[in-house]
Amino acid sequence: MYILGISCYYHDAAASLLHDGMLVAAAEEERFTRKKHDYSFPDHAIDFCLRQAGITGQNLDLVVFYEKPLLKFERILMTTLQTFPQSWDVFRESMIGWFNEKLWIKGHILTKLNIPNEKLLFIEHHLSHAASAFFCSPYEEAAILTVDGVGEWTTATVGRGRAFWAEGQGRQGESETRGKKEQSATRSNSIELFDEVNFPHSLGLLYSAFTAFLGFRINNGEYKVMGMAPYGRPNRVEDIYKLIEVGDNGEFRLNMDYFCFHHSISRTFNGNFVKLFGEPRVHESAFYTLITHPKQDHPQWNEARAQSNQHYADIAASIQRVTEETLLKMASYAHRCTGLKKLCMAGGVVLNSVANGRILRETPFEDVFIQPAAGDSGGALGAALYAYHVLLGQPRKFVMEHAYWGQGYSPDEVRAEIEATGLPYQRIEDPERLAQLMVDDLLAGKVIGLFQGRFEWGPRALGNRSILADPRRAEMKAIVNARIKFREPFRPFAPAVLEERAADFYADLDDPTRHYPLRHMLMVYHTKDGQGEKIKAVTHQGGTGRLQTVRREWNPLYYRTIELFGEATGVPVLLNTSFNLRGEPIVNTPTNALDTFAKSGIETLYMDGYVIRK
Amino acid sequence: MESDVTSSVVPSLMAQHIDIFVCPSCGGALHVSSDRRRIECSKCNLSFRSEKGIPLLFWPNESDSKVDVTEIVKSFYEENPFPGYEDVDSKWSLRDKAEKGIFARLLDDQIPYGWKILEVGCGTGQLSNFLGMTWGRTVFATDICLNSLKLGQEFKETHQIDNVVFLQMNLFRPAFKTDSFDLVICNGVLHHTSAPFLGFQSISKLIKKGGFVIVGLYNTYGRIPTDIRRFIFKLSGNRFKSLDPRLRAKNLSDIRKHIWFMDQYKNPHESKHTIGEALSWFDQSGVEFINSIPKSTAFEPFCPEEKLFKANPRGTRLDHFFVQLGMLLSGGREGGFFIMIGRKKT
Repeated sequence: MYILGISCYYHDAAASLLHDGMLVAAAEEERFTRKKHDYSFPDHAIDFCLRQAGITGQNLDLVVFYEKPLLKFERILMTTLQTFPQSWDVFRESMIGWFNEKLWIKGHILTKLNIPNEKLLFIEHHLSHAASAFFCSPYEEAAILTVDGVGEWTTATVGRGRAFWAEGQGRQGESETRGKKEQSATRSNSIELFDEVNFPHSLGLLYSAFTAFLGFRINNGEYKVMGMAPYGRPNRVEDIYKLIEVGDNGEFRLNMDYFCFHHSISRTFNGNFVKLFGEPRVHESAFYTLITHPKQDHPQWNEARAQSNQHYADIAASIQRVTEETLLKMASYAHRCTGLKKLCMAGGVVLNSVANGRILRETPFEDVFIQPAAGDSGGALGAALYAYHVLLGQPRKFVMEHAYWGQGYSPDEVRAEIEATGLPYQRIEDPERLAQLMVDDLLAGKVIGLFQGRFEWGPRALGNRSILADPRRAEMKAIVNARIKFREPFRPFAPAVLEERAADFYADLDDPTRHYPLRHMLMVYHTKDGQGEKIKAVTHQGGTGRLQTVRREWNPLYYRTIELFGEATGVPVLLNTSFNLRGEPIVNTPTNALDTFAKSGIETLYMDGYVIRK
Repeated sequence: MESDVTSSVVPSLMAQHIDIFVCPSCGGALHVSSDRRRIECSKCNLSFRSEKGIPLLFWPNESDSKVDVTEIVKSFYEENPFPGYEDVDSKWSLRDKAEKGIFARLLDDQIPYGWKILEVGCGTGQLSNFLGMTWGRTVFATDICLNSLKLGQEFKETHQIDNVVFLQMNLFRPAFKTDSFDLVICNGVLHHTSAPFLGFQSISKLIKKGGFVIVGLYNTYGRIPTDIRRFIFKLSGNRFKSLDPRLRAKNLSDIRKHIWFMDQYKNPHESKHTIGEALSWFDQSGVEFINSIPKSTAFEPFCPEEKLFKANPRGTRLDHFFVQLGMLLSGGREGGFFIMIGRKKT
């Protein structure tokens, strides 16, 4: 049985395909169209999924869309009517979008895939999110927390998931308290979202409002706010609590006197917000403070600018603090309601890796699961899983152990694309020799590109479309930022570390093997005393790192390279950043990789056994 | 010979490619002196110095006219070297700026690995620096104006753009051997010279057989709106600047507006040319037509994924009439500028 999941029309369009409950393929549309966060109908991603399975649209048993368009349409109509006439622009723009495209999604899908009406289903946005986490997790029962900008009406939910597994499939249960027999006896899967917060009250939109205020693009620059936060002091928390009221159970309400995202297309915050926090930061302007540049050696150094940047960093630190506190309260509430020890999380806000780390460390949950495409793209996967397990009542057998669900290329395809450019190359088939060559380059201070197999599902590069460098060299942060990625020098990089050695470098990590989010670079941890000094290029302000743990079985070449680097240096850690230029999606094809290689300062490209040197 | 301390070291990229250089005066072979500070002609013994890493290979025209346009234009640009790098402070911002124009982005994406590129009249070198950021190609960027070149060279050095070499040169007295380049770019330059066709012949000799040339010129008809505005500005003492679409644009910085104004309305010399005229230059120089912006066939839009180096029909006279009429009617938004791409016949 083939089930296709689709998400699109808000941000990060994607498609995923299940075969008898096992994931076959999942990819975001942006990788194919090369438009970052492409939200248009995912024609290319769908075609890829079908190709990967060797089927056509007619072989599909079900197609599931990740939200209910009419409910969403209703929300937009209601909201704009309530704020009319201020909302005229929003109304006009959204009606154009809805009547041109979004309302006809059903017909579009049926025509595209040539399937009958009864094979198409629509699942609510937050159910899709919840399913994307819970049905990819190894758990039988877990609490669920979803938090994002907005779906139809809902912006956050708390709930519980229950699953039964096919015989002989590995899983982790809450065996002490509930017992497998009891679970198996029910023989049904369910997701119950028992609490929710509705639009316009949204933690995601609050964070996005600050993203815009701090001079970054909404739905794109949120992680930059998180990256800026450690440079500031959270001294505006009280002011932010004037904007959001958070109850003991994590339920929250925005004070709409400060926002206009519900009736404006160009602004998310209004004059009251500016009165409280001052003028917004100029879009993408240079960021430097006395903390980033203690020697005041930024080329555009200006004392007043540095001070105003400090003010913005303080605001970033404050909104980050409030977000963490709210999520912690919500997670604690989820624990109180369910009494479970496992938590599954999804939604765009759950890409906040700093908050995720705190949830695992500071709430009673012992395990947290987040799948790599936690944002809207993940809805495509969740919708398909929900249909299979809940609507069709099929037992579980799939756990998302790794993120390599995108498109891969055969050696012949790779060679043909290299030869089309005329670049000289070398073929090296022995993985051990490849790993050794990569380590030699890294030890020589070179920055290398690693392209292998299928690309990653979700926004992080995890060793198949990665740029790697020596994390011990403090200067690597500036080099990779300026020469490779063409971005601001303060931006942090993430470490990739052997799973079994992660606890040597990071505090509070007793058993890294059990924490799935670490595999997908979704949690930030503090370095152990003195260890951050050894890996300066991947240690952010405040001594933290958004680490990726690497296990041999999921990525042998990547693992072996880190291992060999560790043998040579005593530091089994590499600097890993996504293989793309600033503003572009992560590379997909060998040609994308060659292009980025040529346009950036990457010195050697290792591509599925082909080596290209500058 | 004693080391010449007044001259800077010859750029290594030039030294590596010294075999394609010739003496701009006599055409003899050039070599780099033993102290690496001078470039010397083996034939006429002329010696050229470098300033701030820019070899000075400028050689004046033989003066056969009363007024030397080259000198007038050169001094205009020496006084007004633009566009400056005020709004470009990193590789990223240069890339961002360049890629906003479709032409530069397509060019960068479609230049194959290993090409040798010459930009004639690079000005401050923003296009050359942008193209030079991509590895696997060599860009020679030349201009008559040393002050402009210095701005390009400074950016190149600050941001370590390794594939570009800037040098001062007069396009009528090129310092390169014939058949040396895979691509010669001469964008918005020939119409500021005394003899555009002679200039085109001079630079087209430098293209390898099968290599490409890109020439950007003001169009006779497309430029009419600009000419009218210039006349009004002149009469009114530069009032009514909002008549120009770019000068009234809200999203353009004052610096960019000033650059546009000086370039469009204050240049001391410019000529205008038709598509047919440019095609006749191609024909007389052994260059076949490949593509143009706007497209030379009427009612055919220039698409964002256009293949710049793929052959297209050259269009009929009627096509050219409509295309040029279109440029006129659009109010000369691009200053009536058009770009022709040709390939040297093998």
